[in-house]
Order: sequence, then structure tokens, then C-alpha cells
Amino acid sequence: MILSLEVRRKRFAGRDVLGPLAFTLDDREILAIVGPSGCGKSTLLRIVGGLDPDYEGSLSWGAAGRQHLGTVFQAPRLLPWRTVRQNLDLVLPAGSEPAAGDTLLRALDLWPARDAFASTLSVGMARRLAIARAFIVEPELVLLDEPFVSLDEAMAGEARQLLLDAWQRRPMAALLVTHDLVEAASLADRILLLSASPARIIQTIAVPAALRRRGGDAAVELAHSLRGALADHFLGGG
Amino acid sequence: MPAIDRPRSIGWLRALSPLLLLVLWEGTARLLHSRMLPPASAVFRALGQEIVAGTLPLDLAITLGRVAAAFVLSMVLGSALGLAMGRWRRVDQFFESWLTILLNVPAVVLIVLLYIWFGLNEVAAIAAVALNKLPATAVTIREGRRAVDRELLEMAESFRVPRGRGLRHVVLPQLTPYLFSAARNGLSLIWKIVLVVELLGRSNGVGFRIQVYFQLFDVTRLLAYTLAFILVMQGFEWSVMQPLERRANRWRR
Repeated sequence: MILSLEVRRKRFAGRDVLGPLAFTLDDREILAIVGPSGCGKSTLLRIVGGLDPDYEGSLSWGAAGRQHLGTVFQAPRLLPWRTVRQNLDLVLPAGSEPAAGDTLLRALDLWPARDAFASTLSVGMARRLAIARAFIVEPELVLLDEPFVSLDEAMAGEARQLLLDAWQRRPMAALLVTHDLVEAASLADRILLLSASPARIIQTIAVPAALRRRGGDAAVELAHSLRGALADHFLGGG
Repeated sequence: MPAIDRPRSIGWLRALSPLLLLVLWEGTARLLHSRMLPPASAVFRALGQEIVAGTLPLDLAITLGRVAAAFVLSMVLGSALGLAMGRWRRVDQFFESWLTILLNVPAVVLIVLLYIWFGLNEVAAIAAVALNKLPATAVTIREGRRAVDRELLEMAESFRVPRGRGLRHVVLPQLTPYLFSAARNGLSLIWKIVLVVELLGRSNGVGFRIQVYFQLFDVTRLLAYTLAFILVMQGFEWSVMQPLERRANRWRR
């Protein structure tokens, strides 16, 4: 286990936005968190990332303590006044090799733009750089907040593949927030379905080992059955 | 890049307007033919003579030294204070009233008080100037710090970017417009106050000379010293401020 989170209650601007809910995350496990927009998914990530300590509940880390975190935010959040390479250098721990990012920049097709200001990047390149930045810190845990939103389908597919490649080269735990069931089904080991705000866990689905990270039709089919479960919840349970 | 951003293309209108001013000055002065308003040509001649005599360069250097010292002092302390006030609400609440007082004490009162308390010396002179400028710098930089993008701060926090590195790469680049604004306003304010400080309690520098020529009613030399200072400050703007600003803005598309 890498972390365990229990949120009894999280209030924001005088109303409940989260919980009660609890989950654990294993080493090298990819956990997708799926729910309607505005249900508090991003807040959940902010709590895990330590950016929002103002909640009732507890966050505990596994034996290894708080892990090296890499975060891909919903917006790329790059420094436009720094070059591509400098954006990576910003997060590198002191004493890292100066060329640490080179492989990653090549793999993500950012090498030709390495000395360009981040302000000049296209949307797709900016996203890839944000992904590179999360992985360059060699995280034990990555937090992904709708990392592929605002990319067109082809680019999103490519970016997902990049993510999987990075994961396969160096497996790590990941929390992936998304509203896209197919995305969740094609990337995750386990999927948490969240209700509308204040978010609770409706259902936890373990993706069968045989279907994991296979993509294609298997993921679409799984997503379809999940959509059925969700519809039952919202229509039946109210 | 648009032509206006290029350093050398000043534009004919911008070159023409100061020329026109000179012509107007020269013409009016010749028409009036009065000791109170010497023509431009006489002022430039006096400027040349003072430069050759060596008095003007010396006084100018002394004054510039004081301007530089007060400028650096007020920018460094004012920026540090402004950063802290923009960053931490408690610091802001604590220093708010101090700033209000400093902002509202007339420059001359501050100068006279410091001279009385600390004597007619260099330290009091420079401190008086710096204290006059410091609150405005702090207020400007505080606004800048408040306007810093929170999402980028969070990004740096989540990656545990060390404080110094975050300040240098995340915060300061967003403050550059505010820093340049504070520096520009600062320079123009500071050199005016430095002259007052010199006039009131120093026996050298441009301000002291102006007092001397005021007593002698020598308007020509008075204007020559003023002109020298204006030229030097404009030269600084062109040779230092503008290139620095262009450099800081390279990333903008």
C-alpha cells in the first residue's frame, strides 16, 4: 500500500463537496476516479497532493512515507517565460544530472522545441511537456487530473499511449481523475465511480487482469457496462 | 517584431518634438532678451564650459552616487517588504499603518527630521531619500505579489520546488512589470528628492550647485546643470532600462 485516504467531510464555501469516502492505493496501481463534473474529483487530488489540508479525515502514507509526487494538472501550468528544458529543470531535485530530461524530451517529441519558450508551444506540446514534468521527478505516485482534456481524440490517444509507455518503463502508482469511462477502462487497474457532489463512492470496479491496459474494444465494452451501472445508480437510487 | 519595438527606429515624430522645443526656447529667449530666460544656445555653451572646467562632472558624479545608493536601498528593502506583505496577510496588516504614515509624511519633513536626528551627513541624506521612495515601491510590489498566478504557485508547491528556485523562476518573472514600474517611478522621484537633500544639507552635488546659482541668480548655469541631469537620466533609460525590459519580455509572443 502506498497511501490510504479517508475523508469524513470536506466543506467549501459553506457546503459539503466531498465524502464521506475512503480508499487505498497499492504500489504500482493505477486507480481511476470517475464521476460527474464538479463532484469534487479535483479536490480529492488536491487533498492527496497536500495542496488542501483543510478537511475532516486522514491521509496516511505507506511504510515508505510520503512519496515523490508528480502531478499533471488540468491546465498544463507551465512557466511561459521559461524554455521547455527550464520548465523541467524547475522540478528536478538538486543534484540531478543536467541531461536527465533529454530521453523524456525525445520520447515525447519535444526535443526540437527544447530551447523554445513554453509560451510558444501548441496545446498538444504544452500537455506533453506537463506530462514530461510529472515523470521527470521519477515519482512513486503520479496525480493526473483530466490530463487529456482539451486534446482532440487522436492526440488524446497518443498521449494515453505515452503515459502507458512511461508507466511500463517504470511502473508507479497513479491516481487518474477523469470523466471519460473509456479512458478509465483502458488505463486503470481499478475504477472508483463517484456520485454527484458531495462525492461518495458508488462502486469500486476491479478491471479483470486479462483486460487491463489492452485498450480497444475491451475497454469500450467495459466502459459500456460501467455506464449501465452508473445509469442504474442515478435513475434507480436517485 | 513591430517596428516600434526596435531600439533604433525612434520615429521622426519623437525626434522632431524635442527639436521643436529647443527652437521654441531659443526663439522666445531671444525675443524676451532677459537674464531670467537665457537662450538654449547659451545654456549649452555654459554646459560645455562647466564640463571642461570639471566641476559639473564631479558634482554630477556625486549626485549620481547618491541617487544610486538611495535607489538600490529603496528598491531592495521596498521590494522585500512588498513581497512579504503581498505574501502574508499578517505582515500586510502589521506594516499597513507604517506605510500609510510614510506615504503621507512630506518629503521635506522627512529630510529635515533625519538631518536633525542624525546630523548633516551622507548617511542621513541617503536614508532620507530612500525612506521617501520605499513605501511606493513596497505598495507596487505588494500589488504584483498579490497578482501572482495561484495555479503556478500550487504547481511549484506540489513539486516541492525549493523556495529560492520558486522565487526566481515562478514569482519574479511575474513581478517584472511591477519592478520596472517601481524602478522608473523610483528614479524620477529619487533624483528630485536627492537635489532637495543636497540643497538643504550638503556642500556638493547638483542640488548644492543649484542653490549656489539660485543665490547668484545665474539662470544659465542653473539650467545647464538641470539639462545635464536630464540627459544622463534619459541615457540611463535608453541604455539600461529599455534593453533590460526587452530582455525580460523576450518570451512574450
